[in-house]
Amino acid sequence: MSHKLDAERILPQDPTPSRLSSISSFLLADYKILEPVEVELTSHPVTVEESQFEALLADGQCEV
Amino acid sequence: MRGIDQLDMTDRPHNHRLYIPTAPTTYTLELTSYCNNACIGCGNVFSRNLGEMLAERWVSLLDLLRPHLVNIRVTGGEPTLHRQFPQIIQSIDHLNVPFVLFSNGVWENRQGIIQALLDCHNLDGVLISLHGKNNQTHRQFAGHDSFAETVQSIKEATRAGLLVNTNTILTRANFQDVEEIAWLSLDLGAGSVAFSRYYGTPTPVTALSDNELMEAIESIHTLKAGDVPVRFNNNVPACFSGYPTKSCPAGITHCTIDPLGNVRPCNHAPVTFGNLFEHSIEEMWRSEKAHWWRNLIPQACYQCAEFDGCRGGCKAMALQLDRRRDPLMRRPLVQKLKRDVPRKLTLYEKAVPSKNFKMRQEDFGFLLVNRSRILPVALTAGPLLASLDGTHSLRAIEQQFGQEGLNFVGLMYREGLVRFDG
Repeated sequence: MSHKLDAERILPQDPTPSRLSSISSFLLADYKILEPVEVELTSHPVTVEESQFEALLADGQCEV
Repeated sequence: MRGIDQLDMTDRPHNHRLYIPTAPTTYTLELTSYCNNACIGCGNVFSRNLGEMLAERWVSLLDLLRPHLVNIRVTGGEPTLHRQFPQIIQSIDHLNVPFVLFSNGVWENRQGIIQALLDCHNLDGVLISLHGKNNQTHRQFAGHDSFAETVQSIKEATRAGLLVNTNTILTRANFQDVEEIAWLSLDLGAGSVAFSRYYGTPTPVTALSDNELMEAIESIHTLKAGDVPVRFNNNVPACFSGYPTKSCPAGITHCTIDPLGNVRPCNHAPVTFGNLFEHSIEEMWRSEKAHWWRNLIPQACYQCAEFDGCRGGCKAMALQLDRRRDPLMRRPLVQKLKRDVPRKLTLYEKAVPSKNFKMRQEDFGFLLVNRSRILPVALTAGPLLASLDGTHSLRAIEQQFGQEGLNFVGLMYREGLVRFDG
């Protein structure tokens, strides 16, 4: 299982700041440290690298 | 240190705050104070002779905590030395809460322990301490010639199908061996390799200089950049290293319970909030002692752009050294550090997201928790969270909640709090 995010596929470009800022009303200030996400929808099924996101999660499981 | 902008008197500071839940979400259980290693920098702040509670007592204690348990870590001493280890592990497993075992891998009854772990349905994995690339360096920290036993346990546990990650405390004996330790662990079958900063009173073996610690941190980041599953396991203030760090959850979402039921903010903290057989966890979490602990976060840190990702370094370390703050702390950062996470997602409009978290309502909003992933969100997110019931497509969510709602679902997905079924 790869633990590296596929930057070429998932990060084609940096999203525009104006669209990203629209996420913030749901988040409390405490966690605005999180890098925002912009979602674009397509009409074709997209294979997302689910296992790689799971790897991100697994990273946090055994910490002290 | 890396080049980073730090606040001076002319900069406008950030003003962060903490969101304190009514009770912790992660519970570290110190089953026993006994250990078969003699680590010179033992992370336990209690006496080796503290003893241990019987399994029935642990079951009563876990019953008291049951409504709050989201994530459990089992540790010690060496937890497998508890005379009723299999029974306790079985009781924890029956709680239906994900848990992890921390161990030194020195297992006299290796096959019995592995089988007890294999019988668990909610065990995420085992974190085994490996303090060097060979016996010579391992024993400098572990205090015993236990390298061969530890290595054998990692090998046999992984072969049996358990997820094992290793953890190495960085010392003067091993800080230049990061790469070799990583490859050794992975060759033994470990899923990932963690390295930790030593928390405690410095000794000739553990007292890394700033430059030595940075050398190890840089080695870890070089390996990560090469797709090797390594990580830094605990907090090194971001203002010291210039890298994002583990945000300290101690006394906020995390507590440690010692072998007699006393509650501390973390394993390393020499501070007790009370005993669970005398006070409820909610009572202790809002106690003066708990406030005092949280107030150990230096005021300057609230002005730092990385506050939420760090929370003021290691307070336990500061206390143990009788200092006002983590000795690695520098000046607050002006800007957030860049994180290597996706910022744009392209998703199928008919994909149906569903919850991958437990949710608690708190005074400040909702706390979404999946193991160590914790996201406090505003009350206004309530209707959107309710729509993550496995029946609403992303397009439907966009129509109801706009691009803002869609982006929020994307963020939760990236953070492991949403999954797509089917």
